[in-house]
Amino acid sequence: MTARAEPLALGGGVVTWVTTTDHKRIGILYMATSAVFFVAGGLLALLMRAELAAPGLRFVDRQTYAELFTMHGTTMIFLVVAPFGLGLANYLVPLQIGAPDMALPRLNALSYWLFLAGGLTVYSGFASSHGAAAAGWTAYVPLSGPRWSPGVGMDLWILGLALTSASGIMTAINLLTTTLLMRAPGMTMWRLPIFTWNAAVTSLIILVAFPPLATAFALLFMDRRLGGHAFDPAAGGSAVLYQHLFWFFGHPEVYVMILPFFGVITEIVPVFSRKPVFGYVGFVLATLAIAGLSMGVWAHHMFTTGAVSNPFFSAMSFLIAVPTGVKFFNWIGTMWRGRLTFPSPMLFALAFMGNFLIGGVTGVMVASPPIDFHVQDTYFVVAHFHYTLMGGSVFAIFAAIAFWFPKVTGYRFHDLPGRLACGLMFVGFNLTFWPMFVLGLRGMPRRIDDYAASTGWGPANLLATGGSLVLAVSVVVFAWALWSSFRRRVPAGDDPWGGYSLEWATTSPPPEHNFERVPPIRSERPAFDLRHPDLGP
Amino acid sequence: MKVFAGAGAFGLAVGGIYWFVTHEDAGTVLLLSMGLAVLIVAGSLLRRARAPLPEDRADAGPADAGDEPVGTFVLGSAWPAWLALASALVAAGLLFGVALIALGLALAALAVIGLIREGR
Repeated sequence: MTARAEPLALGGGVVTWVTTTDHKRIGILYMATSAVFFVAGGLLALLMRAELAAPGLRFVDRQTYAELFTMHGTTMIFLVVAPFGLGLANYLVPLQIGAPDMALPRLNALSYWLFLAGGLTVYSGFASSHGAAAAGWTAYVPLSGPRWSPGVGMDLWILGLALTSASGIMTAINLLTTTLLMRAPGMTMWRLPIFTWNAAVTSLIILVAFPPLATAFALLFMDRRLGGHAFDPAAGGSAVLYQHLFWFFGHPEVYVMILPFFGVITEIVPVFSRKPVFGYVGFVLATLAIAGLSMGVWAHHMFTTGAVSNPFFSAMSFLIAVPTGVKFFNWIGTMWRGRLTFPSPMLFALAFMGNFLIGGVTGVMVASPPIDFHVQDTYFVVAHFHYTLMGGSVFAIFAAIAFWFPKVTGYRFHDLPGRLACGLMFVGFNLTFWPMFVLGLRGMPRRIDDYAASTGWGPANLLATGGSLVLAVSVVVFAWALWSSFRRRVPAGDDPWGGYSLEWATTSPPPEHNFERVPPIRSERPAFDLRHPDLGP
Repeated sequence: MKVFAGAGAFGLAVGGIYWFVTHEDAGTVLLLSMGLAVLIVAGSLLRRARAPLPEDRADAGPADAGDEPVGTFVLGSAWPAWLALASALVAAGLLFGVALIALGLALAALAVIGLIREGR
């Protein structure tokens, strides 16, 4: 197989892209749309950081600030991290299992367009008379009810996210069906690449967790617009029920946002360690354990309500740290005595591990009710979840882009600016979010738009704002790396990294139905076996 | 199959424990539903395990799937985007008026007819 210099997978006019049912194009559409929302959500965050740099309201009013943090959280969770993972799965899963496409290609296209329609509906709230939704990304009642959020923006938020939820459920059905029914001969479940395993388990989580969210949104909409009282305690409803439904989705959603990226890291680390993944079976079982346990931890977000069993949810939350720790041992074991190299994808993967470790350890801390009561709704929690989702998932997104860029486009990734972006991002990220741990422990509540100078929170906030600017610069540098990679047009070849999974055994970019001929599959490293028939099983 | 059956049993077991620890309805229903959902996947896999396909056999090669049809894959379709637009109109109609709902439903009906005809 020879490399092609022209990026076939990216060609075609608008009609081609609007009507496409090719999983690769749909995956690219998902990821590109997520990137646009990432920039939008990032700009909202920069505005917040500018406001908090020093005491005093200087740039935005209170209502606008509430819209900023609501839409920032909504964007990053519903429109960036989760859909990027699903988009990547869209692109990779059929390639990794030797399938010509997803099992249900038109449902796949519908999923993408519903996701886009949902995202635009949520953002259209900014154009409404009362502004966008401003009740926080969790939309707790009564804050999101008709009394405290009377504008249409809140309704658009509910309806838009209902559309994206429907999109997520359809994608999960498609991914699971594809993984179970479309594998090439010899691609048994215990030979699936770890990324595909994680995408399949993520799909299972979505199928269990998203319907309660849809239920919560339907009831909330009825309360707001049709005179319902599901969440109104004065009329016999229950505000706590909303929290149950929301978090039964919300905590598994954390794993929807992280499991695909555990898969990404587990694809990257062995390739740049020149070793097979350490503990393949253990890794898969740990993923399944995380999925199961993730369904039983939702109310650790509700410790302070006094309406849940704190010992039960605390114990379950501690337990989930065990399989997560297993994955760290897998990664360390894979790198141990490997022939390590450090191009951009590996650097991002290592940064992911460092950041996610801090996010994970602080997660164990807040799983303890006595600590949680102390830091509930403070910046400590903000720092914790940014270390998992930004320091973890978003770093893995950049790792994935750098790693699979040659496969998608046929061009080499420009490594030098990629590595520079990684370094800047690591520094900027830690400068932004580490001070938030300190601020949280000193009592700074989340979601406030101002603070008194006498609190002493000013210096740490200024440092965090400076870090966010470094972070923004790092994203620009990464964009430059991508632009430069396209401009240089250096052919990558089919397998520039010496990859292990099946996508590296086809051309770059892959042909319309992925493979001219699927190679024999004799292990979980079919591309390696193809290159080294003498070493294969 | 065993993995999914185990995950389903886990959901039912945790749901039972949760009920006896908390006597709380919402969480119990959610946990039991989770167990049942995973058991459906296990059931589907159990059916397939009776007649293993080439992808389930470790020694199978490309030749084993030589005569197996993989299905027809459409190269493109305008109806999914059309249906998504119709869905967004129905959603907007819930806020801005019945006319939008009617328009959305009409467009959705066209899309469904188009998808069915395309599938033949």
